[in-house]
Amino acid sequence: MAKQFASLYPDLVESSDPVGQQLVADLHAFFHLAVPSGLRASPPLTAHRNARVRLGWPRAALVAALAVFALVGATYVALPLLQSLWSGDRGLDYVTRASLARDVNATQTVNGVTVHLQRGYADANRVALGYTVEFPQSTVADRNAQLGVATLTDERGTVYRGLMSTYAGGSPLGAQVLNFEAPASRIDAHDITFTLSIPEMRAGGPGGQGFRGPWVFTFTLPSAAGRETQPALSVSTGELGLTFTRIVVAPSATRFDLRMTRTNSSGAVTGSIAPLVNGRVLTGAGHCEPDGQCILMTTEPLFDASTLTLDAVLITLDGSGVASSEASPTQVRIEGPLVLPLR
Amino acid sequence: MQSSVTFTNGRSAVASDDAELVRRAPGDATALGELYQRYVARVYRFVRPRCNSADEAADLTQQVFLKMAEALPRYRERGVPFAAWLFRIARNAAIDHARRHRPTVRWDSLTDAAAPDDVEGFVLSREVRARIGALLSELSADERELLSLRFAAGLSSREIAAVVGASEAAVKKRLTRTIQRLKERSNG
Repeated sequence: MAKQFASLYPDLVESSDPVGQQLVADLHAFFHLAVPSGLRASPPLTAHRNARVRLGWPRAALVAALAVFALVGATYVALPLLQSLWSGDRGLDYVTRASLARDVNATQTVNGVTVHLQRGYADANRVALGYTVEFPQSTVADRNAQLGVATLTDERGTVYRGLMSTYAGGSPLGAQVLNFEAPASRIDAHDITFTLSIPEMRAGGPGGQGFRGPWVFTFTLPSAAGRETQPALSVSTGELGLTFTRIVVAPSATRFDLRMTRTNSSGAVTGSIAPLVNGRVLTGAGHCEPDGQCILMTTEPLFDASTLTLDAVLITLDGSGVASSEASPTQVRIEGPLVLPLR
Repeated sequence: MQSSVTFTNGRSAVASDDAELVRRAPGDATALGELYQRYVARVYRFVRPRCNSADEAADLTQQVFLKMAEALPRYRERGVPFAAWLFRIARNAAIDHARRHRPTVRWDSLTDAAAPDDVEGFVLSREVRARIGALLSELSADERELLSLRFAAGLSSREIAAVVGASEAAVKKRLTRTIQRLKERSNG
């Protein structure tokens, strides 16, 4: 085992030096601390600067908006922030143009913080919820707001896995779009009653001012149907196999189920997968389980398409991004074109 | 369907992939999120020894990414790889944090669990962890930082050189010497 980890640092230790190899392996493990799961799950990335650029939201306008806020309330001022986040997601922009998103329009105030769940959308692949938030005027202003981390369940008790969220603004006004992965088991059109719970709001950036909730909303959304294809497309290398087992195309996102396997043994393979289309990584997110089952979700609007052609697929094996491995082959590139049926 | 497969050098392939994400990130929250997922563990592990608790390190990690998101539109590679640029931000944030909070954590008392999923079961025993911590606590702050940039941040010698403002050759030499010294002390 020590040899395996020492091989990640060929410039630091000779292969003929077992003591050095053990030391380097011990150092590797020493520095390889567990990362809090909450940190992995909740990126603090703020889109507020981008939102301001897209909106043409100069400082003077912000000042004017805050003055309006003082007169007429926060909702109307924070709404453009939410609008910019929502339309910045190409999949959500598509469903909004198709009039598939719904106004939820529910408000709750807890500990002086008002959360207004403005709109929602659900389909066979994801659930997206947009809310605005109004903090007390006395809240310390900090543009590095994180807002809330939420949980979403439905009337059957299903807990929805969180996908990345985006947020804008900060104190005293903010907006956030939460994304969740829909369960793979049901792709027909149906109504779903959801419960969204936001246990805490943070207005002052990491370590800053926090407000305890919870803010809880129960509401019903129509879930748009998806269509399923089973491409059974397999490609393999000398040691890795990749099989596309299922594709679900829905209006806001397209989901690809994949399986990574070793071709010469039964060992599990885990890593990250990046499909390339027109020379770029396909916009979206994904995750792989320890058994090699992976899901990729792209927010590119593909609902009207018949096929998707991948230039290539990049597979970065787990561990390769952790330690320096300048000479080791850690990334597999499967060259296309790979034509995936979407109908 | 015909598909050819090529193995590429992991680091260079990842670097070009980074470049694409970095280019898109200022206007694309998804790309920004992908950069976050790609580097969050490495940044956390780099800043953790400079903080008093895992929570404090998590907060500092998020601050690093907020700074990154703000500075990204101004980033130009110009010979400084993105990873090195990001860890410059992390290093500066960690220095500022240390000034404000005066961390009291000792390297030989860093007891966070290792990440068993990432190290495939190669988890250090408490005794070995304490021994390595004690060895590291005898090093200078600069030496510990180099090791941290290499093992926790996962940077190459070239990238470390860009972070600390030294030549690549000097970084390689210093790392090799430090490892050699640790080996000797470990045996002694």
